[in-house]
Amino acid sequence: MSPLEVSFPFLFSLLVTGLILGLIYALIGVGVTLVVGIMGLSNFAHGEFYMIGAYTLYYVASLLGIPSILCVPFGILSGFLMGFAVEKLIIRDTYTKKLERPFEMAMLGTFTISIILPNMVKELFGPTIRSPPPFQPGSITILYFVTIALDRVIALFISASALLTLYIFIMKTQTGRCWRAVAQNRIGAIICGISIEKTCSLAYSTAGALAALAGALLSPVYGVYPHMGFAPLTISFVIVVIGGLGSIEGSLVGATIVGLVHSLIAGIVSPAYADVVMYLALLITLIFKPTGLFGGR
Amino acid sequence: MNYTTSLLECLKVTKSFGGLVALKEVDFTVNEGEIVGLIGPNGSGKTTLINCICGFYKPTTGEIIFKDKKITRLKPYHICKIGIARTFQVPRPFLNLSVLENVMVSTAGDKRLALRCLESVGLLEMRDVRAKTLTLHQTKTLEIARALATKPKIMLIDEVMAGLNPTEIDHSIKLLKEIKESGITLIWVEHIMEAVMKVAERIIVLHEGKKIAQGKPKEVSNDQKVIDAYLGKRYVL
Repeated sequence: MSPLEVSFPFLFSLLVTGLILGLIYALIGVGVTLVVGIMGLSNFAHGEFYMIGAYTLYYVASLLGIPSILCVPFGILSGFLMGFAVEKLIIRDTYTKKLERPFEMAMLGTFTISIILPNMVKELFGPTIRSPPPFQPGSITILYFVTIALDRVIALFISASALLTLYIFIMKTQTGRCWRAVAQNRIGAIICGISIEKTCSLAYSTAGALAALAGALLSPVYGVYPHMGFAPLTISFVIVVIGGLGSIEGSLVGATIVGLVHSLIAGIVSPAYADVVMYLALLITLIFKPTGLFGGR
Repeated sequence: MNYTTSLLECLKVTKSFGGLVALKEVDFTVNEGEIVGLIGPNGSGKTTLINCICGFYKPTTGEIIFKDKKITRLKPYHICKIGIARTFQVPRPFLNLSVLENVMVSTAGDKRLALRCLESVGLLEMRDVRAKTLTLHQTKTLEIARALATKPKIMLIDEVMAGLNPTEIDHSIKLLKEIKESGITLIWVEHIMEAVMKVAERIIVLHEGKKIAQGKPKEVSNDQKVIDAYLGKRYVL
């Protein structure tokens, strides 16, 4: 379809799906932001949490035979537990043992996970793409002409409430205050009596849970397969760089931009160009505001 | 020896970084309720000693004993919880948190205690501004409030007066005296001799990682070794 022939209702529905997609991407982006901000770590294993969330949803739904919407909490739990394990077994030693290059070590650790895990999943469950049943078949029509699949609407509500809960948690609770404190001044936080181990463990697990939630929510749309975590990983890094490293608001805005770009370009031009335009947006941001939209203290 | 009232003891604390020996068998005792001044030229190991006490560094050899328990191998946040607080020479505030929130991080969310601490240091009216808008003096005062908020038995103060003007120094002196009167023991690293000599009850002098003198301000300032290593002739009282 040539860009000139795009009708208004079609454009509008692309905008709506783009915003919903952006909100789900925000779940992944915010997780990367938490880990970068609090632990100072580029988490290359982030996509694997997304993958684990989707696989958990698929297998719990098909083995127990319960509606897939009820399996979303299992997906979240799987991401949280895996995050807890990865932080404890692989990342923790890098910042408690006074290694010479803690960040490089931790980054390589997460990179290793991002190679081992998909290949292990491929051996265990096979390389085929599987699709869990949709949350709720059918669609609704808003404003007389825009039709949205119910799956997307459900995903919209779940991810919006997850993000809102996280925001309230970070801004209002003592643990959230400690997260912000550690992110802003780690040594200052230690002398206030904050345990860095506990803070990092919870933050990393939460980031894992959010990515797993995103994977579970998108699995009926995009399918479940071993290497599904790679695309969200790159997308989440683009989001945090556009939004500004360590800024939660930034990742929300970055995710919205990437979601809209993906939806509009894929719908109007071609899915093949969606990533190209996303990286173009990244380049433009880096040229005009290298610290990201909300970055730079 | 004063076993009944000693709160903190350092026994032959040595800390080396590779070949560099920053602290060499430093021995001292701090009694409950004292203000102890820790002085010495740059690089003499004052801050290293503070870092060893609060757990940032593990001494290479030697032990640190607080309330009759060895704390040498404890983690910094644990040492903070059992009652040793500190401030930094270069303050470490949470710049994007409000002043009140900065203190609430230390009080485990207890807002009333945080407000009380801010009131006692005189920062109450600044409670809602972000820490990044404070002046250096206010930031250092905030750091003291944050340390107070952990309900310490002993506070390690690292050069709280460096870079302040005379009025601000007077305010800080008053504040330290008030803290002492509230029953908190102070170990205080400072280069501003007028202040240390006036406020500290006992002074420990470090030079090249070794303790070269200790005693009342007057004794220390007349000690020939201290004069040669650090004070010069000017400060003879």
